[in-house]
Amino acid sequence: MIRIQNVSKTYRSGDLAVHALKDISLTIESGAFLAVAGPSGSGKTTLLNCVGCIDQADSGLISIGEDMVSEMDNTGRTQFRRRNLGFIFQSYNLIPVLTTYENIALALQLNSNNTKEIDRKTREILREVGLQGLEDRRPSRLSGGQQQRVAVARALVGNPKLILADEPTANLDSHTGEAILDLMKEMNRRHGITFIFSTHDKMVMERADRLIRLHDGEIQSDTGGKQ
Amino acid sequence: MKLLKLSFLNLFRYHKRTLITASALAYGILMFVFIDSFMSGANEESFRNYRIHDTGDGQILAAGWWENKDEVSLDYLIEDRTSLEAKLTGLQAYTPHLDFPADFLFYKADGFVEDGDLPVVVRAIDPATAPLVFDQYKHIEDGTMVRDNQYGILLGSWFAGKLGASVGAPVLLQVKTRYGSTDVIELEVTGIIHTGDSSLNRKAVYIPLTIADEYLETDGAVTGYTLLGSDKDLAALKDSLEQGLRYLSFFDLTYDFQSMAAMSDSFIIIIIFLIFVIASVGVSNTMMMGIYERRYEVGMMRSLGMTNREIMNSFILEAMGIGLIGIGIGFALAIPLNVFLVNHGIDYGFMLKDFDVGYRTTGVLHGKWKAGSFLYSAVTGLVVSGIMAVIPARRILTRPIADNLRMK
Repeated sequence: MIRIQNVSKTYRSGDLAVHALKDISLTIESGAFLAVAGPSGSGKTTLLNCVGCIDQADSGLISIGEDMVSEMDNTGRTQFRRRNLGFIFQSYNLIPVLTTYENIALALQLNSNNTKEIDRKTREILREVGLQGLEDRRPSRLSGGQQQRVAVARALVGNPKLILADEPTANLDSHTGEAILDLMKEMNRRHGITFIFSTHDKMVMERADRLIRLHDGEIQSDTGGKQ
Repeated sequence: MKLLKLSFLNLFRYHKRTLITASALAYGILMFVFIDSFMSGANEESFRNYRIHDTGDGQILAAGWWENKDEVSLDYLIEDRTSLEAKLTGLQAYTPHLDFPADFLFYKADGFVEDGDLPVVVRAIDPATAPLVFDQYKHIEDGTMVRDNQYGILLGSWFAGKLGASVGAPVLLQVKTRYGSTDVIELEVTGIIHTGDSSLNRKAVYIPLTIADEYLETDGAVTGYTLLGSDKDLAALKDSLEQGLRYLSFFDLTYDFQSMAAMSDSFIIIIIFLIFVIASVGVSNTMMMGIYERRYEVGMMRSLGMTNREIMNSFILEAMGIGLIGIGIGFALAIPLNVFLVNHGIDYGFMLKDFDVGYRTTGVLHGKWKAGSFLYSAVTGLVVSGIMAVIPARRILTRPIADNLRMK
């Protein structure tokens, strides 16, 4: 269960103050497949960043499970991200000098030195996301869809409580985007991992179990299930 | 281990840039090894030349002479040679000398390049004992050694060459006697000395002590004695000296050169430091570009839970990798260069003929193997490279992760 209570965030650029989030409150059930939609500047990414312990809210409380992440210091948030969260970025963001296998294994190596266990889990997730045979390829030799599959595998491999995906289909064609979304939905169903997306993509909104629309940092609508 | 691998792979991500930067560092290391080898060789050879051509292991001088050595005065002389020489018998070897100023007169009609005169410092020597203490008399490249009571003169090769002097040429030395009157000694060039000592080749003028004694009216008195002997014997001798005599060790006699060499070393250290600064700016620049280009990647790594320290270490390792490549290239160039320097040397005698650079070295200057300079340059290169990653990495890592992720 993720609880977000009265969260506000303001960015300042010189004299200009941008209220990215205005007193947001919501609860997200474990295992949710939730999309956050809204126009540019509506606060989608800021909300994801605050929940993902990448950014800190100016006020309000955020808890993930039993952990009050909004009260954690930098080190605590880093450790929390390492153990409990997975991230998928719009532009995949793989390390170009590492192979598919190494990019995925890196997420595990941050927490463990058990090479056998790392190898087992990495190969298992590679199989699960359909990347067998591509283990030794560098990102430059993978298609966009394949790269996003690697990013999904990297986010999943540590068996996190929550995966945050910032516009994961934005750089993919509709067919590939759909396939990636199917994969994430399948992982959500199979592993019970909570997924939160920020998106502009209608297809993502349609497939989400719950859709939250933001506008100017406020929740405009919160609809459960397919709308 | 994962950091090491990541750093290693990132090192070759921008391989051209890495190679260019490493080359700058390699140049710094090459210069360091080259200059250090060259200067060490010059120092060592200069000290050796001082010992074998000028100072021996030590000297006994008339009190006051050393303090006023620039005057080359006949006011400070050792009169009682007999009792002093009695104390010197236990030493390996010793020889007296008398230094005095003179005008060297030469004429075109005698084969010289022109008519003229030059102020010189003449050293009167004992032809029997001087070769036992000094090495230069083995290097008479033309003619023969002067003999007792012979109106002969030995000249340094560059000095003779510059004036056009050859063996058999008549020379006049205009001198002032001990009592102030002027006299002229008519001499004939008996030999020309060519050694590995630039100072000696440029300035040496030797005549027999007996001749100098006769013309300078010194009645057997000398400026001093040059000694060869063990430290123990020389220390005992020093303690037994009477008033009016002063013992100067090799260290005392070469003090000026040591100061000059130390100053020269300081300048070299500054130059080397500047070379390393230039090289390190290159490393810093490369790392800065690499780190800024990867700021989104840094944001991603921080999102995954990699700590700032881990990311910083990975950049430091990467920069040290550039340093390591630079060290490799530097050594690959410096070793063969040093082999050449040590075995063949560089002939820069053409410079020394006209200028006194302070080093008493041969025209061909040899280098020296110094493990320390390789080690020092490697450690410096590695540490400097590592440090150069810190500033740009810190600038990225102190920004919020959200900023790193936004900056693509």
